[in-house]
Amino acid sequence: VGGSLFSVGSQTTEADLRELLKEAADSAKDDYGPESAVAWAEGYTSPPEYVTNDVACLEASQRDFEAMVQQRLDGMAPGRLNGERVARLKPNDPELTLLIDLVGGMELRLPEGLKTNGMMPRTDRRPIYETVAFAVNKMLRAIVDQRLAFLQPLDMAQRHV
Amino acid sequence: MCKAHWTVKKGKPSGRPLGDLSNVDGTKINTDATAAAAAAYYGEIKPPTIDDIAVMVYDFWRAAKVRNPLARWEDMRIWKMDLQGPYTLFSFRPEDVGLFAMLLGDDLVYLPMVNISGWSGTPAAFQVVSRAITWELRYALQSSTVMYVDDMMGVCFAEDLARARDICTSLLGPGSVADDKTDLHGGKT
Repeated sequence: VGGSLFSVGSQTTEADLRELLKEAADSAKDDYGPESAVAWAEGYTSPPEYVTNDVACLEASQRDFEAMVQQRLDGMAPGRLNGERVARLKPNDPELTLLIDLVGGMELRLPEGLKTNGMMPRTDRRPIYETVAFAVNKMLRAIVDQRLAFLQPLDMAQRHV
Repeated sequence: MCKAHWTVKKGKPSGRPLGDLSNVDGTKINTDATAAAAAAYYGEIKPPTIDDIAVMVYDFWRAAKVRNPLARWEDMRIWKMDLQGPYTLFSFRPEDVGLFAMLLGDDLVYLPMVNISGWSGTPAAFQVVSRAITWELRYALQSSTVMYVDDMMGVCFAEDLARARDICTSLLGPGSVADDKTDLHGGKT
């Protein structure tokens, strides 16, 4: 094999290329399922302070949920996408306007006349969640641990969110 | 309030959590209309093809030879870079966080300040970041890059590899690059 773009005398064989393609195809396979998630989260229990800390945080904000979120976001801003970081980009970057928009939070474009439902019957949970609940809770609580989400008891959420 | 949901994820025995935002008792915020509105606002997503990647390498090489006739093919590097928890790299507005409330077991409610998998507008919003990074890389490094949401693949000369990472962390923060899924040593073309 040789030409203007490839070195003459390449040692790559057809078998090498076939092996590479097989590796690529194998990497896209997925053998995991609910059983592996259950095993992954086996023995996980939620530390109670996750909730008590966030409840205390809401109380400290006079139960003003939006103010609590804004305060948390402001505290994290230096290490995340923020106005100062966007300002470092080239002034002719075509995405500047939308990036500045994202700094303030994502624009949702919600359905007209949106009415939130407020709560959901407990019996209505997804069956798959019931199966892998510990895994879901463990993953979500890792996000809470990074201070990127809050946990609240249902009654507090219904009254103050 | 949406239902907690779960799905498989390649290479992750844990799978990944989802908010089931198209299956709620009140007004759904995940609909074809909201997905289309997000795409109209933030721009359509165009996943790169293998052809695009091949053309990326070829176009970079042709432009490099014009700039420097002594440029050497063997000095080019193909790299790939993944972002860490990409959907957590920007946030919802405080007044919108409650719309993504998710009921868990034990009567607990999860309230994410950052994007969640399951919200149909998230990929389109993230693509803004992707396009900005792609543009900055092209501008700063004269590198060619293709990007699909948080997956970046590019070509540049060996001496510019580290700067590609710096451009991402400068915009998104110091922990934004998933180093375990990133290869910035570059494969020789």
